[in-house]
Amino acid sequence: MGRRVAIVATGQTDHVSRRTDVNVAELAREAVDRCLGPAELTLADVDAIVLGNMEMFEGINMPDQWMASTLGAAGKPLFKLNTGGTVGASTAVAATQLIAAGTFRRVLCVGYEKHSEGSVQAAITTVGDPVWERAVMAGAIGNFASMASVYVDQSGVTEEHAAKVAVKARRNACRNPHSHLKMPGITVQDVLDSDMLAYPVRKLDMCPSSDGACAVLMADEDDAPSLAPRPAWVHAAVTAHDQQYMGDSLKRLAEMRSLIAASRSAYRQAGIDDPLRDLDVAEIYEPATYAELAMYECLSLCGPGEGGRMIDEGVTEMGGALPVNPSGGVLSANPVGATALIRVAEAALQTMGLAGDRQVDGVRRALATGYGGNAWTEALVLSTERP
Amino acid sequence: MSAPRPLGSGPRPLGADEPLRTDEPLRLERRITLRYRFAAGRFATPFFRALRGEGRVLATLDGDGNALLPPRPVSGLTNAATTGWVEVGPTATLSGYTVVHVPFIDPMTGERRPVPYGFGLVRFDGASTNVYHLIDETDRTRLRVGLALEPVFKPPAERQGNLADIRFFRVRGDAAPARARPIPPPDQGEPLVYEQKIDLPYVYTAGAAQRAFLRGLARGRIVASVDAEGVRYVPARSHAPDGRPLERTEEVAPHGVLEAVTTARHLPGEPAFGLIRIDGSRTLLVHRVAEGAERLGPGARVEAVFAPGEREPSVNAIAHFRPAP
Repeated sequence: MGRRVAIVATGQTDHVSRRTDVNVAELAREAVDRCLGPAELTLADVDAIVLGNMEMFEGINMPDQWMASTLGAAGKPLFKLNTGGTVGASTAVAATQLIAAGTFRRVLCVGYEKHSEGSVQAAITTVGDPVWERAVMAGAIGNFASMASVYVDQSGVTEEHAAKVAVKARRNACRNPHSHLKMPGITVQDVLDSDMLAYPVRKLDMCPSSDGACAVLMADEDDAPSLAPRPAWVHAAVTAHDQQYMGDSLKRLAEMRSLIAASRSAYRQAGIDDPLRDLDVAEIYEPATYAELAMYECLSLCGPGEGGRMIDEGVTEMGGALPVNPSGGVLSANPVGATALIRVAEAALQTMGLAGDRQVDGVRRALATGYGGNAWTEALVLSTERP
Repeated sequence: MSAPRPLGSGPRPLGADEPLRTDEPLRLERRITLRYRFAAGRFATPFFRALRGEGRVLATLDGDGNALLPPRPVSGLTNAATTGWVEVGPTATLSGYTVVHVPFIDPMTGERRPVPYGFGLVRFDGASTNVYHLIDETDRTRLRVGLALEPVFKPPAERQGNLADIRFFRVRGDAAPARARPIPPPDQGEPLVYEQKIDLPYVYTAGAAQRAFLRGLARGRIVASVDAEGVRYVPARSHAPDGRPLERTEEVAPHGVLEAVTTARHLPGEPAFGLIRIDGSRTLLVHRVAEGAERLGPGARVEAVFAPGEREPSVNAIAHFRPAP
């Protein structure tokens, strides 16, 4: 890596199912103001912007043009990315590379989605190959549920294990002012009693669809210390891809090739030998309860087939050895274009000691991941220590 | 994009005394309907021709002996070119499954798919990869990983050369799996092209300044955003072009100067469009020009002609701009 890079400020909207008071551009700008304002920065302090979103969800092609002025990007470099659900974290990986290369000193990452304006299940079908896959697609849930059944068959995790993940997420969300689904009294039985969407996935096993945005300001080693008293330094920012067709890898959930490759590479770059021991908190992109259990295994937090044991023993609860998703995670708020950037922002807040009621004590190193329809993974390791 | 259409609970005509700037949401319903013509390419073309014609299932082999389906030019397991073709199946094994209970709108048909239905990852016997497909079973307790399956094809006359030529897979009693059989590279024949229509509904939410602007148009008035120096911006907006927030809106006179004009001779009726600077505005408004304004040059004065009758809160509340007296 070239120049050192740190996160110096973050901002999020309060994610909800529907925002009717603002348009898409104003929603994104709200996150930008919440990022820059508390740091007493303005758009004049930003050299370039990287924007993330999935266009089909709002039906606005080239949103970078449509919202450039509102983002304060007119006359500046503005890069638009779309890597699916991963895209928010992809903006952070891209900004890291732009700053590390010495191209810019301060880059603002912005991710947003306004799901209430489109048809999520119908629009997501267009990510499938038009000749091979669209004729027999079942929306995101049917495809995901089929993969989850493979993980259940292989690992023996039960619906109670999955329900415990749902309970952890929605209870953690109560300490996060930005989260969408706050359910302080939720029980395992509530999850087991919720509607079956597609076996083995029940309603409370799935993430919601949210309207929301997130912004993260990244700066180089010269600027970061003056912009934040305790920057979150980037020790690894990795992206990895899998094969192209949805049925290519049978064990995509249980053995996510891209997540395994990205996390191994990130651990190596950050000098992490034992992630359960060396990480203090993780914010992972878990689109459903079963995915979180499978991801424990793919992230080497435990051995194969041990995802259920991890949640049984409370390892990933607040107060456990490695709290996973103190924010409430994707299960509690999911504006897709922002979701993976929220993981990065939450990991940064934990590293900077600014996570409020959801702060984990003594965080020195944090992991954030992004997940794009199984094919794509981003992994970032943040640290209090300058690399 | 089709013409604007108000939502049941959305835009409504304003009373003359109602304020233009309110918190009441303004949501505009639109559809995006797009047509595509996808070339199947040199691997899918022989696959679908064999599937449709003879019910045969083809795959490509990579250097490690993986039989890849869909067939493809490069293996994602070796990152090298595939080396030959095999025939697999048509019997298959269930790799993963679900029973879908949540209805969703299929953008291929625009219709809601009936629930429940069985769905899963299916591996044709002899193949190394899976495809998603429908399973003829809605009792999930009768499904398990490893179940032997067979495809049920549509009658030949109904097949269209896609995976839906197989209606679904059903459980098969005889469990002896087929193996991959090497075959010579299939003939290409005429390229297959798939016509597809995407039809997706959207509801666009207007922001506060846009709401005032659009509601103003519906009442035959033009609303500008104004910055601290008194500079106006038409159409009204939340932020100036340089990113500064614009808190205030005010009504302005519906006339200004034509900055540029062009006639779209490729469109029906050959409409003319102009860039119009409403008096005092730093920004320009794009709209139709007519009644002789299309023959005017830059610098000419024009005024808005509002559409007759009850107007919706959209830019079409202005019919066009015409020469100002």
